[in-house]
Amino acid sequence: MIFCPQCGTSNRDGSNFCNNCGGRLLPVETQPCPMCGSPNPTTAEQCARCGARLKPLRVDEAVEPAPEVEPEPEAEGAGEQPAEPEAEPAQAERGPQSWIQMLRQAALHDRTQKPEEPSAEPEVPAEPEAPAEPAVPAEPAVPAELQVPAEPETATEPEGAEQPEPALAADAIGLPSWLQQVIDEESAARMAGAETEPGLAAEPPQDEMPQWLRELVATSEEAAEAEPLTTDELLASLTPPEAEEPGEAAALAEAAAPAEEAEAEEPATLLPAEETLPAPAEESAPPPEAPDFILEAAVPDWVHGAAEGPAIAVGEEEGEAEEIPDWLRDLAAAEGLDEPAPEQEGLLAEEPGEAAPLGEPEATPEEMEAGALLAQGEIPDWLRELAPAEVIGAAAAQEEPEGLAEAELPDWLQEIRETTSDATKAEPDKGAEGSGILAGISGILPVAGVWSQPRRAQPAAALGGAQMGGAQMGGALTGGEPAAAEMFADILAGQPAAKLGKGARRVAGGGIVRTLIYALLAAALLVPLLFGVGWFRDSIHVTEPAQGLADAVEALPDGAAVLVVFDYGPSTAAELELQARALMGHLLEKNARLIALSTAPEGPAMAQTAWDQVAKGKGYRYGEQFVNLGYLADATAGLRALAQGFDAAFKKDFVEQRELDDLPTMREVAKLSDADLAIVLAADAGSVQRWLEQAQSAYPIKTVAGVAASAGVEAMRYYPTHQLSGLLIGMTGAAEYEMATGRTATAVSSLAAQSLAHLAIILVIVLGNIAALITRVRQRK
Amino acid sequence: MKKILLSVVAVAAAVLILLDFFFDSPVLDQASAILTEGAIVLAAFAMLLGLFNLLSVHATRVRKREKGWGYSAVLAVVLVVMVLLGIASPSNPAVTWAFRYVYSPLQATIFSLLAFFVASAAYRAFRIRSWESALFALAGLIVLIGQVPISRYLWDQLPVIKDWVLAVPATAGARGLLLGAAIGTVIAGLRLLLCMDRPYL
Repeated sequence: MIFCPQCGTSNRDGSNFCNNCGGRLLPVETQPCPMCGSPNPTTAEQCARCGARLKPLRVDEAVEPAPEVEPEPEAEGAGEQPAEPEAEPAQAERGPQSWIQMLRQAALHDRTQKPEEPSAEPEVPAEPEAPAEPAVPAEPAVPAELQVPAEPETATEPEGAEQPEPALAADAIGLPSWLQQVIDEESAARMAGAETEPGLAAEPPQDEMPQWLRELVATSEEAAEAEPLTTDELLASLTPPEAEEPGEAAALAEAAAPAEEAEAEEPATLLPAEETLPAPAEESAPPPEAPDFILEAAVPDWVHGAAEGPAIAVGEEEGEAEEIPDWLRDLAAAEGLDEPAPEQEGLLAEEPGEAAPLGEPEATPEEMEAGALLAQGEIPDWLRELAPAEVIGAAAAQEEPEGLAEAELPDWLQEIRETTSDATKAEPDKGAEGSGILAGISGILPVAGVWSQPRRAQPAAALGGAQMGGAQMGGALTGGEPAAAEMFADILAGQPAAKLGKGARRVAGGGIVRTLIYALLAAALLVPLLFGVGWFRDSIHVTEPAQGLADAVEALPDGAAVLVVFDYGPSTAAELELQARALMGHLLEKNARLIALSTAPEGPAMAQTAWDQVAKGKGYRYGEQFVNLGYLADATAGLRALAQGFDAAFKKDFVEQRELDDLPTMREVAKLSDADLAIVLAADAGSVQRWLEQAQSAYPIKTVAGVAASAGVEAMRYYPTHQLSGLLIGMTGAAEYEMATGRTATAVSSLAAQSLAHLAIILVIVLGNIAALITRVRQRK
Repeated sequence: MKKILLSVVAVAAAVLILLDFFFDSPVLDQASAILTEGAIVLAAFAMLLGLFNLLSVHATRVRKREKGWGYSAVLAVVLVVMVLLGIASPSNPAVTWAFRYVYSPLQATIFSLLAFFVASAAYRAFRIRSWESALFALAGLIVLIGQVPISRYLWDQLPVIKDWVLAVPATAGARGLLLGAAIGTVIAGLRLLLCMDRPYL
């Protein structure tokens, strides 16, 4: 089982990517965090997820001799019954209480085995364990697999509160580093006369804190430097204004009062921890020999909630009684420990889910720290609200989903859990692929591509399996689809598929039929072009839109200014260039001035081509009868600008780069309304629509259009509404215009080829239906 | 504050353009002309940006010797040459020649192949399998044959029926689509004017 470092989802061994988030799973050379189970690089000192120490602390034997661990059996519980030391070795292999005790034994064992090791980290307290394990004998018989997770616990257990170092005391209860620092500052100010080891009060490195936390710390430091604060003042200063007014600040102050009263009774070494962790009002001042109890009871709600972050994450209820998971309680009951001893309860509460936040979060990278803290609930809600949005976003991205997060438990604990709690056992993914490139992935088989394969191309056995499983492909591959799944696996594994036969290729549209169709169409086009010039001329019928356009041109006054929009390219030139030539020729005969422009990049060249063909040998001169203004960028805004004035859209012409005022064609044409007619030659109806919307709607001008045949239906809708006074559609429209104006030319002679091509396509359609009908009849027989 | 300022500018520009459609005022005309001219300039710069991006992509392919990098090299060289010639003179004879005798025939040829693809597809697409497919095929055949003059040799009423199909049912459908899109455009415009949508932020 591999746990995703991003989302915590459990993945099968050998997986490279997470099933849930797709994140890359860490390589094998990782070590699981003993507290939360998250994999970490072997070189990491602390867990990147919970901050727990991954490697054992080295304890200087000179500072902490092992025998000091032994006594104080009553340390845990202030008058309550201690655990029986002799019972624990027997339980070591039976239940959760046993293994937790074994963890402690392992820690003690390691400590006793390495007395000469110098302390590598002087800031770590010398004897964090001493009062915490009164009932645990130094039992060397500890399973090897439990020794590794046991060692980090020595660094995270709350027994450290007993130490004289305030930094560790605060750290041990999971306080954020910045708060810890503030506490240290205040403690130093208040304990000026107290004799402590200054070097042990390690400050969290500022550079490892997020920026927003640094700012908060800086603010708090300034306040602390200005005037030493009392505990309730300090808490009040750290509480947002909205939290001060309601009951929270009052409750904090009330809770802090007893602790301050008890301050004189406690040893100086406990002062820092107590100042920061006021006891509840109803609790009496805790005796100094019961530091764990002090910490448990004295932590305010908001700090307590922060310390319980991981416990909440694993689905446990808040509160002291619920800190023990149900499954552990069940297990304890099964072993006859219905009422665990207080110290046992305390120990259970310190199991990974509880102890996780008690590590050293400042050890994580700065980018991850704030988000990780927020995600794990180590920071109260009011502080979470103070965090910048990006930090909250990062935390949200890291937040675990509600419910039981398996990733929070290490493997060895997961195994225990599975054997004792069937209700929470993870369901195996029945739909997941067991082998192949999709191993471990469920529900993603690309069945569509498989089913679209021609059936005759599939192996017979695989086809049978596919037919069997086809009805159930929407769900998981269970039950009767093994053959289909096997076929999919084969295909996905890249096995060569059967080649299509000749019949299959013919059915798929290739081969002879397609060749015959192409040959028929080519003949229908070439024969009239070569031999049929003028065929069907007498049958050309001028439609009403085409006649309307001819009438509009005919009605133009002498020397009229006509705007011609060339919105087409070479692809539709076969149709539209014929229209352009017919129109321009007619207009030039009417002594009209043609002003060409385009909202298509290819338009200016097409306009120039049409002009060259029309004016060739006719004596027309560029700049007098015709001007090409060029391309108008942004069709919508460009036409809008053109409607307001030519000079707003164009400064010079396209061909000769002359000022518009210098062109005779543009005389007395300053704005759109000065033109007598607008002709839009467009490959698609969108150009016509834009023209009508942006230009004609604001500055009414008589407009006609010529479009490609494919745009005829869309453009036709503007003719009955009189937005277009005339319309030519395709090559037929060009021929109709030529017929209407009595100037038969290329369009009419080209229409014969188009007529026969249409007939050929109709023939193909009829033949296709006949072939399909014959096939159906044969199939019925 | 920054968002508010941007929203005010955007809405003011939109309102100015909109008012210019309804009122004939020299002031509005002037303001509208400035704004639309700015839009044209922006569009031109966008095209320039696309040009540089295209060059950058293909230059990278050439530099890394990726598969087909030779085509990229040709594209980049031709692009630069044509742009330089076009900037010098938009109607440069070299540009006109390249357009007329290289670009235009190639594009026309590619588009002409569509006729063969359409014919091949028609062999299958117009098969009559149901009442709806029969209606579809019948309408297609009528327009196809009625569009060309040879239809009068077959039946002189075919062009009339074709005109009716195009003018009534086809135009009704197209107009319905247009009106629907227009209503959507009005709603989108109102949302922009009321700052319910602020795509410019």
